[in-house]
Amino acid sequence: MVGVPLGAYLALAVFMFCTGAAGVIIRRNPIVIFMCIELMLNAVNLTFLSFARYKFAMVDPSVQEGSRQALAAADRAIGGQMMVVFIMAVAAAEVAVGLGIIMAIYRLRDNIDVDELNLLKS
Amino acid sequence: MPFKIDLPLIEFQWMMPLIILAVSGMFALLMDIGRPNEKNDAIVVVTVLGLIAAIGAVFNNAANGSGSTAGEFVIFDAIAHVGSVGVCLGALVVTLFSEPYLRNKRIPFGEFYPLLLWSALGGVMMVSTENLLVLFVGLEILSISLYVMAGMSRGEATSEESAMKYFLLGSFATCFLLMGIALLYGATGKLEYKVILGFAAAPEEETKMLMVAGLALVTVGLGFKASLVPFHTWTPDVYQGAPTNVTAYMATGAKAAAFLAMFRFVSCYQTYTDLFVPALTVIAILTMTLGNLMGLREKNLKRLFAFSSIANAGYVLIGIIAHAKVFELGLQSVGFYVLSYTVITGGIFGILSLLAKGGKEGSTVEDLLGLASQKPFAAFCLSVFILSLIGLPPLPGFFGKILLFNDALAAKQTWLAISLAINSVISVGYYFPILSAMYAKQDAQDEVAGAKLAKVGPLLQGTFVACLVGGLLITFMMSPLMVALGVR
Repeated sequence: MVGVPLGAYLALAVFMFCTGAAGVIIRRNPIVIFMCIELMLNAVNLTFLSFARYKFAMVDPSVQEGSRQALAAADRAIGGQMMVVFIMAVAAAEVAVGLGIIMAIYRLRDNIDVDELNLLKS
Repeated sequence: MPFKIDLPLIEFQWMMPLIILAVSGMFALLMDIGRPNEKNDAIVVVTVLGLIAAIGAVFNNAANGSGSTAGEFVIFDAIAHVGSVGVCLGALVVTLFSEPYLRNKRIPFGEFYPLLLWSALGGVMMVSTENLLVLFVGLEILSISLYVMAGMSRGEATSEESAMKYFLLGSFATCFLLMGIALLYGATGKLEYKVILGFAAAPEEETKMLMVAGLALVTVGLGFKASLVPFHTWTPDVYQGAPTNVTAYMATGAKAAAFLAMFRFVSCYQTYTDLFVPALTVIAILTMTLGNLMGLREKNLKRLFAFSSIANAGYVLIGIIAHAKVFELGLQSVGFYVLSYTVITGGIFGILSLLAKGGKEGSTVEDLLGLASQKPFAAFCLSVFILSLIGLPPLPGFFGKILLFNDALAAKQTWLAISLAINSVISVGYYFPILSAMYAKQDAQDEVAGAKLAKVGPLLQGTFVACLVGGLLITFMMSPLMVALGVR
């Protein structure tokens, strides 16, 4: 098969996921942390789509269109594609709530840096 | 080629708990638009009725047996029944004491009730499905509502800080859960537990790594919600900063949903059980021990109960491990422990909500000085609840621990049983100062301290009585209750 192989997509997804996770841990601005979380979610989306495209949607050319085998393959591929739609919808809801919380903190004090969030301790 | 999709049959009568929660949430939100003079009484009535109706619908489902509907997206079996009742019961207790607390704390946030109902809806979704997509959507409905509720005291920096911490760490954990789901999908091509379970039962060399990593990451994602030890760091901060009624819901309803969802998920381990059970055993022992040890040094009441809830998460994990090891074990002990813990902890936070008065809120153990002389009934209830958490017979906590102990032995996890026994003793170390503070000898200073307590209105009094009676009822009616929920 010619073109970009599955492994390349998965490697990119893993790279994006790790970059995002490292960013969440080392960055101090909540908005940047939030962008890193979005990056991780997109890595997950890429994983779902590449698995759906390469592992499940591609069937042997000898398989007849509309046969049970082809339908089963389509069924498998659709699971991953649906998951991506749901992840995007939920990420949008998270953005709405997250930016609202950041705004609320900004109105209480001008600095939103997460290192300054140190009121809660024993 | 026409792409044919067979539309699944949806039997709405089975989905009544979900429908009731969603509709009563919408109804409560509509009423919030037109509420007169910032009074939420009518909304509280709708919320309570909705939750009671949802619990009734669960019992009705349980009486009709078990099965699935909507193309197996919704499963209703004993696990779903126990989990749904746990979530709704937690939300119900919280609703009962919320209104006086919100008024004393001066939080004009009527949207709290619809959010609570929808959060409960997410919890019920999580426990009544065997599909990873629905699990994810349910978890997010539960979590996003909780993020908003944690930050609802808008003028208070601590509340906003807890919302931010919960939100950032919660969505971080969700990413790991999702990556786990993606890897399981890559290995199996499906999101249904029964397919994943089949692949795990007959492992192929090719997909082995994907399966192990996927199962581990999904367990981590659920373990975060249940605050198991390496993923517990958010718990004390968020519990301390969030308004007390929201903390109560996190410790009861949200925990119940996470535990029962995890309980269902561990049956996917199959041949990988030997890999995961030792890991979970270490996590359980760490969770109990660290939770209790960190609680010993704590002076802030809400943080103290956060550590107590971490320790209790470790206890419940014993039942889950027993279930992973021997399929028949665990549901009765986990179900009983979750239900009784929900009622007891709900009651404790109900009493802690008395510390809020005139927009301010006390939160240290010293603030409880004089509780016994000022509010004898509240002090009596609090001591019963705390003795139950310690595990004194014949209180619910004692029977819950005995059941978990038996399960640990039956699954041949002797170390877990020993650790449970030792930790029950350690926990006395931080529960006892609360009791002694309440019943400390009265002097002039304590009267000043006691004056900071809020008035106990009929609603609060009712909450305490309901939790006390409910806890004892669950204990002494355990067999009929478990039969009614289809556990045995």
